[in-house]
Amino acid sequence: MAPFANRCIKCDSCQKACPVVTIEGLRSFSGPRGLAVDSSRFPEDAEALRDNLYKCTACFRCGDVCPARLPLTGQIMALRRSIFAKDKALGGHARILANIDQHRRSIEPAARRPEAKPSDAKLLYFPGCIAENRLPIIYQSTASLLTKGKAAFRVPERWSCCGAPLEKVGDSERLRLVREENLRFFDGFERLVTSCPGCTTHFIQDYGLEPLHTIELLYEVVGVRKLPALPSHRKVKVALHQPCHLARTVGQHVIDYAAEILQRLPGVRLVEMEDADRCCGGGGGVVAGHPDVALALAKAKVESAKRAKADLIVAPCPFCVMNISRAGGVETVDFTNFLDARLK
Amino acid sequence: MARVEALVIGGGATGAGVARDLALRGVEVLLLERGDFCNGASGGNHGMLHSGARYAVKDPGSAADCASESRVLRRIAPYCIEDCGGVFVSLPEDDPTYPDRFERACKSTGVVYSPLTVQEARGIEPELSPEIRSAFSVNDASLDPFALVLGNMESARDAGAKVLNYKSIQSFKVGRGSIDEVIFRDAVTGEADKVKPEVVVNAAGAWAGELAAMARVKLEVQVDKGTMVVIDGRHTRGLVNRLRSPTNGDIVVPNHSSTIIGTTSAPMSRPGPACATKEDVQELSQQATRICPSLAKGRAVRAYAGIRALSPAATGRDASRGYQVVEHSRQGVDNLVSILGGKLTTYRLMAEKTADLACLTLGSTRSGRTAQAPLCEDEGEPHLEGSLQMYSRRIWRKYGPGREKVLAACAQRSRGTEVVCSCEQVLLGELEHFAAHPDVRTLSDLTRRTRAGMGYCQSGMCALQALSSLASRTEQDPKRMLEEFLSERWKGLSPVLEGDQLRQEVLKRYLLTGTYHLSIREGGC
Repeated sequence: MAPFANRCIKCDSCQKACPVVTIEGLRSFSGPRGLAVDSSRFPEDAEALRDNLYKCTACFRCGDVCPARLPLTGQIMALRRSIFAKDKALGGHARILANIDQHRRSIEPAARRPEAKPSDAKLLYFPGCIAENRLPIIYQSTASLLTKGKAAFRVPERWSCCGAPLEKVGDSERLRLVREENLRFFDGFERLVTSCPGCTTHFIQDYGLEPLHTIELLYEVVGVRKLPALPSHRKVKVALHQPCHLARTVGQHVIDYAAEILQRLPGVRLVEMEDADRCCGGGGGVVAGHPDVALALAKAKVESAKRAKADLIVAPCPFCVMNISRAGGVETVDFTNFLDARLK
Repeated sequence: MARVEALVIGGGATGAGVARDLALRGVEVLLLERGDFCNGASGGNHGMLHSGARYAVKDPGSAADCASESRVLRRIAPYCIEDCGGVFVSLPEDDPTYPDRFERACKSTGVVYSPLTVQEARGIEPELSPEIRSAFSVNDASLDPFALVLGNMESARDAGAKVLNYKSIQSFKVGRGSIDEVIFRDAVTGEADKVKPEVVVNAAGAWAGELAAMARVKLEVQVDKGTMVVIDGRHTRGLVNRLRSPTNGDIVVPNHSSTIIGTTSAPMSRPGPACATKEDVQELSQQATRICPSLAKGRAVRAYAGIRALSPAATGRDASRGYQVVEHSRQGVDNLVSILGGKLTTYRLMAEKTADLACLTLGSTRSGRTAQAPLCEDEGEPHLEGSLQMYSRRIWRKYGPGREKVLAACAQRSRGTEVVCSCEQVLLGELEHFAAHPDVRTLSDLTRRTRAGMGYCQSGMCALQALSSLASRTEQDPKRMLEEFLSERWKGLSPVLEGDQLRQEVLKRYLLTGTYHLSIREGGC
């Protein structure tokens, strides 16, 4: 039994807050309590719950609303570790493992990787798999913003996937491997910055490092509010999506920074989107494991933005941008991309 | 008027065992229980299949019986036994000569054991205190007493016995040296009925003396209260026993989703309702955490007490756990046989000896078959549709011979596979099946059969579902049924209410009594 499971009083707060429960219903998904508390009291059922376990998007909302603050998401990940077997990995997850083995990236790499320039800068930028291979605009925008803010940085010459997707799959062996490699590759830096909240969270929780997310670095160190913005010829209504790992594990302050930065931009009007902190479905390995669940959550996000009459969804997370874009309907861009385009 | 060859009075393990034994011998049997089955000691124990080790030193006769009977039960009732093994461990403050005596006694009574190093013992049970000195492993196991007793009832019925609960004995008509007629009453409707038995078996446990008195014979019974505490979650792999002369708080038993700490021993002047007290709970927790310190972090969800009926020679811990079959002809009643004492582990043997004597009275020479005939055949894991597969093992463990009917109810009913009690993972189909069963009259009856409501939330989440399953089938006032049930749960909760269990109870009160304006009796007993 999980050491905390006997602290639950079944208040159902977690079940009501879980985004996957709202999509799937409790009849086909047992929810955070079912997974983290009930099934940890009946370990013999964990294997039978495999499908259910891999529907969790690891959004941390359950633990956040729990009056006893039980680490429910952590327990779900622990259960995934306990039932992980490579030969039983879901299709999308098997691809992640194969990519790690072959390329040390969680996804199939793009044809050309941006070249890392040798430098002795003390600021290390870790772009992560998505910004390098799927949404290079994030890589470029981050680099551009750091340059505008006169923050000298370098990208490690070699790096491996941070391991966050492996944690979500439950593969502790490969996770240990990439962690050890990265800690070797990262040798000699003063500060680590990441543009992906997944990487940021993973470096904090698994590596014990103290990375900054791009927004924190821009706000706290670079002083992005002082950088001159371009004038705007038209007004744009922006809904700020709150990525789970940014809002709930790195901290709500990052969302506040992001909102403040956006509000200062000429022509930008932030609109309140219902459930802005509800998971878009992009996390937890659900896009790879249960794409239908991920898509349904992305659609719900787009609907919220539409109801708020937003022209654009800005999401400070590559996974969120990718997944919300799959639903279509409202254009979704990354925060750094949006910001960089509006600063001189 | 109805005639019957054998009337068995008492629906605990012994009565169920006697009814089954006689029925398998072809005797026509009626069993009457005044409450629900497992009303007394059979429902108030820690669910332990004794290897015999606990009694080896002090009570070698019981130890030898336990040793052989535990082997028989593993063969005939594997469904309700979790063969998790056990260890005996001593602490620095325990009598240092005891381990040697223990070893010699196990050897001479045929109790299987093997000595362990401290390291080996902590390898088997990682939660054991680092202070332990001596250790032995034994063949103890965890046994579900409800599943065992109800399985016996089911099997007795299959063999032709008539088994009724909620029938209390009003009087015996004794004439010319035997009981001619027995008058009994339905506990709920009050309706009276009578039966002419050829032989009467008194298996009323702690109440056997009172029952004998109704036939104007004297039967001395020592009544002893034992308390147990239920801790949420499993804290040990197998049973953990204190290696010392039996004392309070010596035993830790993993059972379903919980761990049970037992037990105390306190003589009572006469049988009656037994309740756990705060002091009992405190003592048990203190003692058990000496052996397994992690239990201190566990959440006590409930405490309960059972009443042992012991042989009259000595009291409390000194009384033998042996049994006694008493034939009352010398006291002027030829057709009454009483059975006293014993253990849950030895119930079958006791039942067989009692049935032998009853058959002698009936003039029958057929011998018992219960040592060979399994309570149900294990047909292996069934292949079931969808999520039911996941629950099938638990359903087998709880219902044994009744498994097929329960599985069918879950599969056939709409929402039948929905979990309605998440603490114990009980399905709606299980509740519905038993709610429709003629034995089931109260919500507590449903709990005893399905385990719904036994878990850490103590029915907070399943009580209304259980009520809706049952209320539509009875004439009783649903509000009163719920109040009755919650008052019963309260008895077990009040001695353990603190920390998370208190938070839990506050939530439950808010949801149930707040919403439905229930009044719950908060007295003990």
